[in-house]
Amino acid sequence: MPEADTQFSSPIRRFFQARSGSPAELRDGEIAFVGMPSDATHSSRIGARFGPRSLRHETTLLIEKLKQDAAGDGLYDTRADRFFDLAGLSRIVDLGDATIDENDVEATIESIAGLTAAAAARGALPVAVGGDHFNGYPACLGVSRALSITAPDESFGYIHIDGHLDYGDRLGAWGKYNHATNARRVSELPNISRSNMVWIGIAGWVDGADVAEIEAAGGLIISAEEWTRCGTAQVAQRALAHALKGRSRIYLTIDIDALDAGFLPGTGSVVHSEITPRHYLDLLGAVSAAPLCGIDLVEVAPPLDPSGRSEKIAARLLFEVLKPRLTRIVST
Amino acid sequence: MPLRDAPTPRMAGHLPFMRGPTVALSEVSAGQVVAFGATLGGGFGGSPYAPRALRETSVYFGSHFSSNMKAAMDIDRRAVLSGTRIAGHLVELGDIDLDRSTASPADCIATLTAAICRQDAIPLLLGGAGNLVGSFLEGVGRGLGLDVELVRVASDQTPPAGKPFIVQLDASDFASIWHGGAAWPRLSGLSLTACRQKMAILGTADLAGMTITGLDPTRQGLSLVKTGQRLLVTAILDLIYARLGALQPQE
Repeated sequence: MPEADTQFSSPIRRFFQARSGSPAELRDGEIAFVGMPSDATHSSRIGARFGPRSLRHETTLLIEKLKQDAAGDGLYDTRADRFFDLAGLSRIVDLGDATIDENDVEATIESIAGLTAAAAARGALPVAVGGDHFNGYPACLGVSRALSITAPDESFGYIHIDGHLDYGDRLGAWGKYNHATNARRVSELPNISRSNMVWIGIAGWVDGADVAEIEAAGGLIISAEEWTRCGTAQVAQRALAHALKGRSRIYLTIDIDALDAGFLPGTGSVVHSEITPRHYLDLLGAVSAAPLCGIDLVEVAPPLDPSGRSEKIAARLLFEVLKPRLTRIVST
Repeated sequence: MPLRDAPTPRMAGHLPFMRGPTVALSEVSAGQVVAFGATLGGGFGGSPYAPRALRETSVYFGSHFSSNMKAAMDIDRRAVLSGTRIAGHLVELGDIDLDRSTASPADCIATLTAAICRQDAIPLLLGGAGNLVGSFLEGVGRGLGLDVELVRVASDQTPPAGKPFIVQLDASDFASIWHGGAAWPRLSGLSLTACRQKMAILGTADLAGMTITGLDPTRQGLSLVKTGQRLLVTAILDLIYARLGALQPQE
């Protein structure tokens, strides 16, 4: 029989142990998580529908560990050589999962877009977690709709970190809505600036016609080979300069499959990019301070990686990109 | 699009290597790359299943026949793949029927390899264990009537000048950090980039045959498309494309 003051952890996991909430409760500057548990728009190896659930679990474990480590002088950042605390955690709200209808992709689009639009309209930063990468399109669509009201005269930039371009117009039986077309659907939004779209981490074989079309529109493609050759700092600098040229906001989509499959096999469309977790963490650290208007992280497929490391790496990536918003420097 | 009107799913149906046409030995033409499988383990657990696994994985790379792609491009090299340099130049014989053959497996491999070489084609052995390469080397030498050298990808060897050679790509040539599918893990092997660079050089020299060995696709944990399989197929395709002159700079 437990003692009366025994501490229990909640059986219900939320992203980073955040509080649950509805869009109507959001305040300016908060971070609003949205789950997108759908892989019905993936064409081969499925399992990403379990991504939001596993990342709620992994981000909870991560934050519990960080809280333990923070007791005392705070957390020590070895790379930045400074101590920080987790003062920003209270700014996170978990809105829950969008309603997914596997037989009605348009309804799923509206469900996801409705949540990210509501969050962005209230001044919060929507962070949508998939799910396959197609879900990044409705997540961005919602942000686009909100910005069309709050900033009707502005267009926004876009950074797409991925092993793949996702710029096809159609794919087999999945038609125009699938995990290989999401970036093209984003490029068709009325307030996206196509010349401010940037792809980072593209590996292997792509459609040369897509490359030609992206570059003709002024977009920038940085391959995985270029990333490893030039280094993360230079890549981040080029990407941010391109995406922000004449713009004040960037939408960021993070597909974990840009990582080499040797490190991260738990994803649907693996590549051999030679991108390591360190490359990815450094890149997200470099873009985390940018004026982001929305983020999605997609393609975590826990059933494809029995080792469990894929979702642990993904949780760490999420923390890294949110670090300036979640932490506060306490001493150097 | 209704499912019934969609293109055939990539992983369905008959799966020859790269979905090349399946031909009889008598139909092989000069200059073709001719794939065949040898389902022999050499004492390793899952190597007999490797030819099938390599074929399954290879269909992912069939960009030259994909209706979803207008022009397949290697984004790392900014090079475009010429479908016409592959179609008709890459064919498949199937697996050697070891059950119905009275000859030893080693003789079967050597005899078939020699026959392909006599038709001025280039055999591609889908192994199978690494020790199959001896029979393959013997067959190439017999078919060409020449002394032939063996080049291991992870070695420091360069293409021998003025002498035909075969390339052995073994799963253990890759450093184990990059995959999980080798029969013999190795810490000091190559990255894919280093391997591809070497393949591009070897493919334009006096290449007489190629082998893929050492894969154990029964290793658990990485689901249908295992990383080791993809590494091997990615690398061997570079050798094939270099041999066929199928990669051309982006215009």
